[in-house]
Amino acid sequence: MSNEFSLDATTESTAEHAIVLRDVHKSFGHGRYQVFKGVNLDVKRGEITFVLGPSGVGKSVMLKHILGLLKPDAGDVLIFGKPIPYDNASALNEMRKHFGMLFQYAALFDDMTVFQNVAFPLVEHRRSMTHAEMRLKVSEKLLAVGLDPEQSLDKFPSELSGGMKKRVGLARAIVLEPQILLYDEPTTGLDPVTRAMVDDLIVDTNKNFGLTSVVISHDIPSALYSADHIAFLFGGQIVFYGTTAGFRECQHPMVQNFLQSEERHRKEMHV
Amino acid sequence: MTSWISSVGAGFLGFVEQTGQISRFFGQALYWMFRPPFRFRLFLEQFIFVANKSAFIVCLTGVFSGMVFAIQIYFGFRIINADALVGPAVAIGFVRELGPVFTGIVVTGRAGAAMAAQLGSMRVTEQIDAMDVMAVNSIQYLVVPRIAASFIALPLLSCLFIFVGNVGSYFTGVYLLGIDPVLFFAHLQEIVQVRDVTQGLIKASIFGIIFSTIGTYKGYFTKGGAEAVGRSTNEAVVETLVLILVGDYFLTLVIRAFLYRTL
Repeated sequence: MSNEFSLDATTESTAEHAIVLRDVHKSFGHGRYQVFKGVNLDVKRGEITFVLGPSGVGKSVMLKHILGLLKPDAGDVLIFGKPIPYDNASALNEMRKHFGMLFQYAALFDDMTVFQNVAFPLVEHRRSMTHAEMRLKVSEKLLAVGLDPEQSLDKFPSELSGGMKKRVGLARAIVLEPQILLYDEPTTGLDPVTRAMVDDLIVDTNKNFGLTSVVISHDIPSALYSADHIAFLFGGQIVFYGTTAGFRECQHPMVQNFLQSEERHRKEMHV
Repeated sequence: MTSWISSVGAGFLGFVEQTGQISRFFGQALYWMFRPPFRFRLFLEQFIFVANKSAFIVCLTGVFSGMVFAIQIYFGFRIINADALVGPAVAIGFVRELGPVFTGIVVTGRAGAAMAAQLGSMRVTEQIDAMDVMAVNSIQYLVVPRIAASFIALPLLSCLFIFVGNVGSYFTGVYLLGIDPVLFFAHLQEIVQVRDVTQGLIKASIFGIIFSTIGTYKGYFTKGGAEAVGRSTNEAVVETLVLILVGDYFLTLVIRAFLYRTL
């Protein structure tokens, strides 16, 4: 097996789907807890795909499969048409450089400034870059996510608001210019204004950088606003995959339950 | 009766499982220790954290331990008129046992607990996951520098502990108990040999590996929230202290068999 996970021009041009999960099975606790019972998902290139589902259904497990942090018991995970090289640590790391990820609480390193946080992937993977080049790159990415570099570069995460942390986390996720961006519950626990800001950020980042985005969430309004396609994970399988319009029409009881709960919540807010 | 047996059995199985997991974790750290990139700056940061910042507390505990041992040994040895052996007796005790064990205990309380808390906090806030996702090996970045720094720092701190302990013992023996200053260390070279120092240094290095491996392991695999970080820290300290004291006995037997060719 090659040591490199290269996404050459041929691979990229032929792969219509950025991520493919094909009949993925996964269980934990020596088979006692079966999380995936044949998950199939095709994430189209350049689109924003939301993976929705109730808590504990295995949405984060899916992210870990996409990143190669977990290996399926059966089935395949393909990234731009190539299988994940689980048994080759350097090729796996090479593959991960094509991903960026925004964590639920941004996961910024507490002991590093905003500059050090965003520059971290550059320090690790672009060793030939000078400090000045890194500073320029970091400033460029901070501007792209709506932060003023002059105001934020030397701040520590503890000095930032929740929304600013998300922006810095996103700047860090895109600094290596990945092809795929993953979001883990990006709007959970945010106030409505910051939530709307994050929704816009997802759409703008995807468009401006020509990315493929996968968003793990249970936030229906966010999904309906930002998604090109929605996948609904329930009972170890994708029970719905389609457009936002199709999602509203879906007759699956759990999807209906989800939509009705959201509708009730929205009405209560208006009373 | 059955439940008692099953709980003992479960406890034993848990112990065996955890020992295996810690050994595997240490094996991974060892594997990544000798693979590039070599992170000298991180090693240095951890070395300063473990060695430099523990030096004061090691000196403080060392000097008082030396003083109290001199007093206790003096009152025992005086009965058989062996006052002149107080210095060498304290010295050999410190060099072989008390230096490495006390240093291990003191540094576990400070640096080992801090390692578990730091990594535990990073784990629950997904900082370790973020590192892995950014294609940076978190074991190589976070665990290797801590274990390597502790492996080197603990023998040095142990030497410091032994030195200040003997200084404390000298001042107590000479100025408080009235032992002749010439006699105090007169028999030192006859009693304390190079292999005793070697024994102490080997033990200290191994204790360095033990406390840093358990501290980083507990932190690295913390599951849950802030409460879990506290639990990991607590477990790291308790398990390290037990392992240092129990391990010291077996280490002594092994080292004596190799260095002294006798028990």
